[in-house]
Amino acid sequence: MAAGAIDPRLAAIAERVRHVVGPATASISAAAAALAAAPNSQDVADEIARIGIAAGQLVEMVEGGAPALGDDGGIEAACSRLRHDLRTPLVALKGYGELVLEIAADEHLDGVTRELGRLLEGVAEVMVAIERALPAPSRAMAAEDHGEGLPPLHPSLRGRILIADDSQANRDILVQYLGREGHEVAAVADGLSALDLVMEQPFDLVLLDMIMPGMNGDEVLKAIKAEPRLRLLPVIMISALDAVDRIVHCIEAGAEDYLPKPFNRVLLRARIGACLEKKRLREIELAYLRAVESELTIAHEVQQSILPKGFPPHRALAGHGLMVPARDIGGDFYDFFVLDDDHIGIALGDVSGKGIPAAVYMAMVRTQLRATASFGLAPAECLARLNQHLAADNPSAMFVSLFFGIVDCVSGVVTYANGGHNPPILVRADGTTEWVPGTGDLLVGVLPDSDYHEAGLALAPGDALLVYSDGVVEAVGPADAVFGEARLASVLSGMADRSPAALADGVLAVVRNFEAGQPASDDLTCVAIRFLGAPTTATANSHQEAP
Amino acid sequence: MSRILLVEDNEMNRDMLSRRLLRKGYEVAVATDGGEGVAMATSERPDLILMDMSLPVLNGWDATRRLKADAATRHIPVIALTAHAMAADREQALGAGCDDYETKPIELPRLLEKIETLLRRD
Repeated sequence: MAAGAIDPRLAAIAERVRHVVGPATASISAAAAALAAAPNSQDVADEIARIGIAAGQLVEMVEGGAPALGDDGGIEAACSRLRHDLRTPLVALKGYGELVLEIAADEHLDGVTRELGRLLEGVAEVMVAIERALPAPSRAMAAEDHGEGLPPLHPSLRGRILIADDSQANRDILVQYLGREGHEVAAVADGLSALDLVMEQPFDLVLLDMIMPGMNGDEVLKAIKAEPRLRLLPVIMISALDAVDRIVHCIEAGAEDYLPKPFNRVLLRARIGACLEKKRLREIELAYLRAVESELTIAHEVQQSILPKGFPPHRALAGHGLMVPARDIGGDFYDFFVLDDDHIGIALGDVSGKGIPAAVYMAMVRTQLRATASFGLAPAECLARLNQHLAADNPSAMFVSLFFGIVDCVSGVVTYANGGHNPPILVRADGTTEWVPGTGDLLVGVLPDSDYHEAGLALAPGDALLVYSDGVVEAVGPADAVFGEARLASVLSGMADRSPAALADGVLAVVRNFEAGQPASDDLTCVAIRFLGAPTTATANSHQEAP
Repeated sequence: MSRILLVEDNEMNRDMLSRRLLRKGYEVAVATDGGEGVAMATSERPDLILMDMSLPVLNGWDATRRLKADAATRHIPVIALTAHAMAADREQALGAGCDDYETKPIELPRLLEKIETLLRRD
């Protein structure tokens, strides 16, 4: 090429620089001029003069770019040189700008701060414009990191990523690279803006630079991890490799990983991919847990609905039952059934174990007991047949402790059988209490040929009977104290005049109070009945319970 | 007070960075090319060197190699200053024996942190 002649390709590049970078440099010149005229400027006159010189150099280089380009080493080298030359006055502008800002803050030179802000914004804009006009380094980066030719990312590994880095160059590199990978990318220059944005928009991943003005990356990380809604949002810290202590602190504070600067594409891709994959799996897991939770809620409702709605109305007998599972669903149950005009059956059982298996078994036991009792069999015979059914086919080795009594509403006599259940307690009208003797029989469902025996007790008018599960007497309070039978008896003797509903609710309240806020370890069930005696007039049924 | 040798050929950037470091309480000496940098490092024995990589006479990589080859100056930490945030620049700087690396334009808080980390190491 003849000396003095300009390669048309270089001329085109110079023209592009003028066109793309020129407008932004004009705003720097304007800010520099305004700064020189601003109040307080005389206090930092030397620095401001140098800002003016650097701004002038920048404008001159952008406007007269082509001669400076030269053609040594071809187009690539020329672009690289121009890039370097253009950045040199920017380095000075940013440095002096920040220096004057520091001095202004220390010495309260408020007059210059607004213009300095404009200047530094202008510097950032010019940096972006240079990247746009001379995009060589991103190609260089790809070649150096052997990132070219990576297979495309699986769509499930693409996500919405927020970048917070105060360095425009770093933001540009990350936005450009992650955008090419198919991620949706947003970028901010400081910690507070990052925090604002994650509060209002959903992101799959945040990349946080460790050191930023105002609010550092580690502070933003702590704020994100302190917000319940954002706790699961993965955060990768961007940091120089030597800040190992801070990196360790961040990982302890909940950061997923860190990325060393300068960026390596292969590493960047691997870490971001791993993070997004983990988040995706966590979301699947959470969705599954939510589905299970909702099924348990429904199961709870179904289980409560198979318990009796209320006590069968009878003029001589009032009753009430309640069951509070320790988890969503439990293995306790109770049942009432009318056998004929003057006989009402009362059952209360406690299935081994808790949760879903106990609940399924409980539903089966309750159905079979109902079916067996409907033949009009005596309590011991009912338990024997039920035991036969349950023990015959019981691969999970489950069983139930079961009290079943039939109340004669005319005489007040209760005929009962007890398959290994806690002894019920009689509360006489005068407040004295008596434990109902057991029949020495086994739990139901354990051995196929167990015998069950009958016993009886007599209720006088005004007497009450409380049948309950071990969730009452085995309730645990602070310091591992156990509620116990003695406490139950003493509580009940003070409630002798209460209705069955008030008795059952009263026992529940006393137990909960005893537990003092600790979560219950077992299902809690109570059934209370009160014998009202033979009516003297037809209005006696005003005592009847309507739970 | 820690003494820093700043090796930078661009007058504006040398002046700017030395002013900022002075304000932060460091004592600053300056050199304008790689040869002068090596000579001053040997005679002045600074606590730390900030070395621009694209220097005339003797570039930053070669200057650092010389300093790290000399038992008298080997222990002085060197932070490389380069223009681009690219992996190759970093590898090249660390390969020449630089103890750390910072890109221009400088983010001062980050540079100060690196300086302090290296000064504490000694």
